[in-house]
Amino acid sequence: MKIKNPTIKKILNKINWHYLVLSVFILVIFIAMSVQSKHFMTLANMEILINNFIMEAIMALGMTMVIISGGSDISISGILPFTAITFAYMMLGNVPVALAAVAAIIVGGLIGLINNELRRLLNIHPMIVTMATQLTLKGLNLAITGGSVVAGFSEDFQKIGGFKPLGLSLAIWAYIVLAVFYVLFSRNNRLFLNVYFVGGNKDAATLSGMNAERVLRFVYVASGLLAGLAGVLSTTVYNSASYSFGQNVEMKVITAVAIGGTSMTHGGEGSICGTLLGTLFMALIYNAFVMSGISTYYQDVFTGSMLVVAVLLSEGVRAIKAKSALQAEA
Amino acid sequence: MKKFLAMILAVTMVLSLAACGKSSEAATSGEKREEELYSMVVFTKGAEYFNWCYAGMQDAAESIGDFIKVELQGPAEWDASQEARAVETVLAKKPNGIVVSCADESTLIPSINKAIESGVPVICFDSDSSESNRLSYVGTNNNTFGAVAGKAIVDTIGTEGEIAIIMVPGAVSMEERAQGCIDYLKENAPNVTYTVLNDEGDVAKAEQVTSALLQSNPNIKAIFSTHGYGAPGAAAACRTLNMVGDITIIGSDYDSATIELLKSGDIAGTVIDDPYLLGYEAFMLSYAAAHPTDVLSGNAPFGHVPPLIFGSCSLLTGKVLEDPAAAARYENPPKIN
Repeated sequence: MKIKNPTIKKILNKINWHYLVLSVFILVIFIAMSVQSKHFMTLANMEILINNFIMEAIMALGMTMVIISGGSDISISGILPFTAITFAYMMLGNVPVALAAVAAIIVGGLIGLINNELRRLLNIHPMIVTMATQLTLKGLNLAITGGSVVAGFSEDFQKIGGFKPLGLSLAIWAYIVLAVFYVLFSRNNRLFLNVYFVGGNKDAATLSGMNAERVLRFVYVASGLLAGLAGVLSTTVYNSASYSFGQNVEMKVITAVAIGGTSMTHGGEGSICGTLLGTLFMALIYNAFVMSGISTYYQDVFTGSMLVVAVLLSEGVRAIKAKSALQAEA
Repeated sequence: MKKFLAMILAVTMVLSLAACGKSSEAATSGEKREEELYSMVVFTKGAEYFNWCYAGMQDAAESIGDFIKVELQGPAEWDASQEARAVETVLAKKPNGIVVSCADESTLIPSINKAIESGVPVICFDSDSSESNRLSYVGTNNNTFGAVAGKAIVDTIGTEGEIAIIMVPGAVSMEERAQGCIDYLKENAPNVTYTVLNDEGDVAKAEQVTSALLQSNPNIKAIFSTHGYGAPGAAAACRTLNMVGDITIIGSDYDSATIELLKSGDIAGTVIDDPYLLGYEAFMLSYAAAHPTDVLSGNAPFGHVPPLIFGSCSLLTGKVLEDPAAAARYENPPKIN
């Protein structure tokens, strides 16, 4: 069916179909779960729903920019436990909490910098470089801790995990601040906008005078910093640090970003708002499966299927837009 | 034997308390009882060991009445932080009780304490979090468990030689099992020396590290794996190196793969506790804790539960499995959705 009315055509073109479909899915699951379980739509469960995916949500912000830049960063599942362990040992060494937290987050950023430099110097695909970093860090995490859980912090430190300004955990506050920052900056800040240009066509961006390497350095360092923050927050939440933290977290984070509409196949396409929706969807699925009593064995089946739907939708919308652009030009 | 009798006594007491509660409540109310939910939270959900535990919980729940609903939750990964999140999510459903096997000693403490503070009884089974406020722990004395393995090794290789112990450093239950084995060897075969291998709890990694060790050290006579995946991995390494029968492999726990390897003789024996019974007991304790009697307990407002129940452990060998009746007990693992 061909729409001839230009007003309707304009409105339809303005709608982000990916967000719309994802929002409908989220709404349907919310309504279905509210009917199915009296415990679902409670303040306590909403807090748990958010808290239980908050580390992934924080890292998804950084991952979105990495994927938009045309790369990927799977080292986050090594950085998270590494910085958690670093922070934990500093706490046991009586380093002031704030100083230890900042230092551990910077360690995460430095690992991001190493990722980028290895990618640049060796000219290897970011996935391979970050996989190598991930494996190295996982080995280091085991070697440093001897496989033991790092715990035994002071009672004052243990209270930090339960500290909830205005009823929200520190991790949620950190996420709110970061999400607002990322949404605003990804729309207005030149450095953030340049990530799209570099991801779309790195050579063209370089030829136009842009420092593409500086942009890529920024996205990998930012991703490392956010994984470092997730590591520090994990230690405060669980009052311990373990090499086992964050297993397969990179897959969950990348899935949330992809479901949010950021293209895994074409750099330069995606958005932080989409990632916020994708993250909410993932958090909802994890919570809904436990709340509904449906076997969690099917959780990944559902998430995987949704990922396929999201990618198909994203590619479909892209193809339609490309076709419309061609028609407009003609 | 004393511990076994103590365990039987404790279980009988708990069952009696639970039964008393049930009969008195049923007698006073003819109407349908309000549904109660009990959650089992584990790490490596899907592992056959925990399926046995959950089967025990299901049967225990069924024996009380159809108003009891049970569920199995937890991550597929050995990740204590994910397991802690699972406990918190389960808590939002306001269950009547939670039984949990902890991926490590410390990480679940805040979640377990939160559950206790909100009035939900928590019973640890299999793997404890002793520093938390959990009400009770149902498990195995891992030192005794390791000593059974030590004895099996000495019975096979004698009082001299080198052995390897497969474990994941930091996992308390495995460290205790390893220590139990080492202590037994020190006392009964001081000339037996040992090497510790870390297989990260993964069967493929166990095969890798065992292969490397056997090639570099031909003096190894026996291998003790402190967890369920190590022995099948070591057996695979021996097959690859044509060393089946040359190395005595003693495993821990059982699953279908281990049972087959015991029958074929690739594994000499495996030290077992009773996961079905652990799940059964853990549920009964959580039910008792959720149903306080008129007599105030030391855990008030929760019901009467003992702080600790240790089950027995023994050596399962291929010879035991030659008896079809005995084999039937281990060969039909429950399938859990």
